[in-house]
Amino acid sequence: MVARNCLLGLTIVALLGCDLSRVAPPPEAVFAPDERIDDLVRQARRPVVEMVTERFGTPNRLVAWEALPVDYGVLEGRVVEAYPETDGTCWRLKVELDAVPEFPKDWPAPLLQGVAVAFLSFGGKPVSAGGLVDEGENRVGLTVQRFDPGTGVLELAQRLGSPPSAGDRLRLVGHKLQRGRVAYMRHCVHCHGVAGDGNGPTAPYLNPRPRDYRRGIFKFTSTGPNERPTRDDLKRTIRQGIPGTYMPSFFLLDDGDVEAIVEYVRFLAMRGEFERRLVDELILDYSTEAVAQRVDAGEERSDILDELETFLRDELPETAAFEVERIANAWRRVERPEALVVPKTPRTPDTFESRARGRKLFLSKTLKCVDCHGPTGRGDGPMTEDYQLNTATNEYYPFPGLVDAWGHPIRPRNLTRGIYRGGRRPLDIYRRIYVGIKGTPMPSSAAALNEEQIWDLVNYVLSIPYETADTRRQLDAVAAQLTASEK
Amino acid sequence: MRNFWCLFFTVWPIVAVGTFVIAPAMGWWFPTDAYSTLGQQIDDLFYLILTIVGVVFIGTHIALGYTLWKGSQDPNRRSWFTHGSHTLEVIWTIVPAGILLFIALYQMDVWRMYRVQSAFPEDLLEVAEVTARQFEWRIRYPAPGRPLQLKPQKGDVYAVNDLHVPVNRPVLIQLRTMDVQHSFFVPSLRVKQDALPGQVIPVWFEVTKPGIYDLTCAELCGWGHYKMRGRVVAEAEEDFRAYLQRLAAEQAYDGVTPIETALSHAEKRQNEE
Repeated sequence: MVARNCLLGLTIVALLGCDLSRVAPPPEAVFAPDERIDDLVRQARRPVVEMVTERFGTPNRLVAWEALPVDYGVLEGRVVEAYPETDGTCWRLKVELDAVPEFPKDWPAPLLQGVAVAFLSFGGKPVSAGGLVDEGENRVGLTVQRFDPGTGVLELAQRLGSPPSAGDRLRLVGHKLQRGRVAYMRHCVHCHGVAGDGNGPTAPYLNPRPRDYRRGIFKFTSTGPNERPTRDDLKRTIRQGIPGTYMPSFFLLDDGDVEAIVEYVRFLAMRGEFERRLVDELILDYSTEAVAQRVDAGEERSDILDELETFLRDELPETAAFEVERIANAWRRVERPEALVVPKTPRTPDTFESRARGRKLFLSKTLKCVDCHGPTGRGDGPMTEDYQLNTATNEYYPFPGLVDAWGHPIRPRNLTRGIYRGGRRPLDIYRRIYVGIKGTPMPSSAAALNEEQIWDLVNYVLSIPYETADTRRQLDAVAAQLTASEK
Repeated sequence: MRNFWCLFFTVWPIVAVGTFVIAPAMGWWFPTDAYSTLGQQIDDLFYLILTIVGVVFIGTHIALGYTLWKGSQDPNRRSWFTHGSHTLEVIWTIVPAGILLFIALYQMDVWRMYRVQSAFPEDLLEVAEVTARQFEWRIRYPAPGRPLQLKPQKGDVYAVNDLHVPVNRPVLIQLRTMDVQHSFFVPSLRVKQDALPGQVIPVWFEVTKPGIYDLTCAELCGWGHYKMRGRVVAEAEEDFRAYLQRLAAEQAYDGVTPIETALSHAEKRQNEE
């Protein structure tokens, strides 16, 4: 009896001990730096990390850099009334926003909390704004504490001097990016990682690996070779998923969430590209290895570091400005309608002759389709067994087969399966042939083929899953006749 | 203390029964209406079993309360041990076995209609093949106006996480999985069927009310199990046909010919046939 009571007592004590409120909070999310930053000498590492953090912030304190073509979510409005300060720590304003966005019902924080506030006019006088706007302590120092869309009462987290007067215009920046972060952290982060480096906790189990956005390379786009994807491309990928891979379809995700995620992914991609370019700028001369080599070659270590300091002070800001312009342009120009790859002629009717011409092209030596996809389209071409040269290091990869831009082994598509990762519309196949698949050995054939030839190839590729050895023979026979008649 | 235990074992059943009586009115726990013909029959079975269990529950507790109360009245009364009573054991084995047998036989009809292919309705429309995979539902419809084939056909129309079916007629889906075990679960239609690797499992249902119903996976299938959100859209037959036509036209989009033109061509062709 005593023993039993003791046991009961112990259990209760043990249960009380599991006070959930005392569990340590999860560590704060951080953007993992580019892998190559560790290769730089110590003196070069910090400026890069600092510069990237200053321009893009951290996951919990994002920065909206106005140089980038990201729709951060801008709300404008005007002050109707400034309430008297209650405790002298924050301003309470009644504002009238020109438009109030819809927020999801399960928004995890007070509405607009952390969103930066900039006054376009203050006390009746215009204010010049621009540059970086930070979620948290921004330059102006004002962020939203709370917003009630019903009453229009806006509480600011800080105050600076006297409050604004009625009629002052203000701008709230970043609500969409915030929403994107929340949705991304819920649905995407476990594969794509906090920094969009394709290195989330579930990533190691996946083949193909989740996309690493930081090069700005996305496989399936409607834009030209070497171009960034459009917002619609990313949206389509999220909505439709990528069949044959682990990217599932988020068909039922709220429209606002999808759009916000697209914006956040673009933001992460631009962040990654910017960081990458900065590292590229330094790695040749100032990696630990390069510095050691230069010292061996007779240079003084202190001279090199002085040179680095001068470079960081005088040239890096300029380089950064130039690079961000380049990145911004690359992302901006694809949103123009003329950036889309659109066929000029409608699809050639899917006739037997068209397929035969397509098959002939498929087998042709100039296009080299069969080198990877194999003569029957099974994805078993000779290249899949060849060792490939790594152009970056000029060494052969230690494993046979094709390799993508991220250094991962990749298999050519088995066209007999009828699974098309970038979509199965004739337009999608047309674009895969015209543009190629970015970051993979699938090249753009825009220069090698005319419009009709691409459509013939599309017709043939779409017929491969239903093809038999017999139809192949017949197609080849017709193709041979066509060649003969051409001659 | 004596009366406390009598009271204790009497109050709980009363609270339990009371809660159950008001639960449907308060919208607690009880399933919402079933929007499929078979679902209504499954609900009938559920309520039958609930009634049997309820009667047994109430009876047992009345007996328990009565025994406790009776025994507590006379402190000198000695317990009556039944251990080893052959008659009693036979009774409490045969009565529940009989009830179980009754339930087993009674539900057979519904089971047969649900799972036995020869008992499926004759005018079944084979709507689509639904392939579960980690972590989504890939759907393959036959080309508009064509029957569904076991193997993919050239004109097949594809969708993901969005299954459309005509309302008020029995429809059939062929369920399969590309990887591990999943379960096709539409709670409002009372349809739940595991998808087994290597098998094609026919599942039929008849939706009785147009609407959008949640489709989820009911078999823990991996870390992304919760991502398998889909929907079943039940709509009038002509809306369903129009949906399929549009989907087919969108899938045939070549970037030049407007989808509307393709649709009107398809309509003309169909009228000619």
